[in-house]
Amino acid sequence: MRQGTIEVEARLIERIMERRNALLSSAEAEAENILKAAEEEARKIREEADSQILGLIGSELKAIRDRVLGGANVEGRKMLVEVREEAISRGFDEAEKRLISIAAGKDKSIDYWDILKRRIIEACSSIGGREFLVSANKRDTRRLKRSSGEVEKLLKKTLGGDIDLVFEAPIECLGGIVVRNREGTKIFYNTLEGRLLKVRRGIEAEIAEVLGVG
Amino acid sequence: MEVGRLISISEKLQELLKNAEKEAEDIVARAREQAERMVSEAKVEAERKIRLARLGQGIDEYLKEAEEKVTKEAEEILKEFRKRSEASKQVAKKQLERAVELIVNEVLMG
Repeated sequence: MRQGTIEVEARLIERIMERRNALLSSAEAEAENILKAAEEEARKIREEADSQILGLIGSELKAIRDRVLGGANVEGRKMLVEVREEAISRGFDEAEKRLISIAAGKDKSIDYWDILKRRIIEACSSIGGREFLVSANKRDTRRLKRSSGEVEKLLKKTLGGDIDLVFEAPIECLGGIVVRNREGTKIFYNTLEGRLLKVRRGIEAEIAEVLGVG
Repeated sequence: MEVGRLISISEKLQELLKNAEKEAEDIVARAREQAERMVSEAKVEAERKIRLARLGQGIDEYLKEAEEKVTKEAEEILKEFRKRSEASKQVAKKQLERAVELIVNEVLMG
């Protein structure tokens, strides 16, 4: 066979194979596009169905939303309330410690004896009369007994006339006093813990503001 | 003889090309069939789901998915509250002394 004929044959085979491959590649590409388009259409159909179903079960979805988000909001608010309560309690706990220190005379910046005298005057003035029974803790009772003359003098000046003070058996308290009239019909609680409790009821909101948790 | 051989090869190649054309048509036809099936199945499935949902059935997946989504939102809300709580704690810590002074003063002098 001649060389020229072999070359013609080879070129012919090559050209036909190229065309064949091109035909198949083109068909495969078209098939791929068709499938892609179908997938896209199927996806849209599913999405549309989902959207319709979500519309149908709207009330159930709203119930879930309300329950879960409502729960989170309640829990969150509870968290803030707890922080508020803890901060306020810590403030009052620390204040109580400070009051114990003041009543024990450890805090030299405050004259506890002067405060105690003022509390007695306040209580006696409020009760009225001439005879008063005074209760305080052991330490303050001792001090009051020791300086009863001074206290009575102060009361005399404030209330006028003679004053009779009777110091009763000591009571358990941080400090301050409880005063009653002879008949026991009027009692004035002026202990430090009593006052602390009263202050807590009165200015808790203000304290919360100061602490930044109002 | 050589011309005869060339004609024979040429005929075989034409046959090959014809087969390839047929194969290409088949590829596209199969893809069209598959595509139609896919769309048709999607439509049938969608109609079935909608029908069931109207009867209140087959909605568990939707509800579960919704719950998961809203749970994530809830976690974000809680995260925000935690941040606020932490900030409040820090402020309270800084302001503690001032609050104690105010309380003690109110108890002793008020």
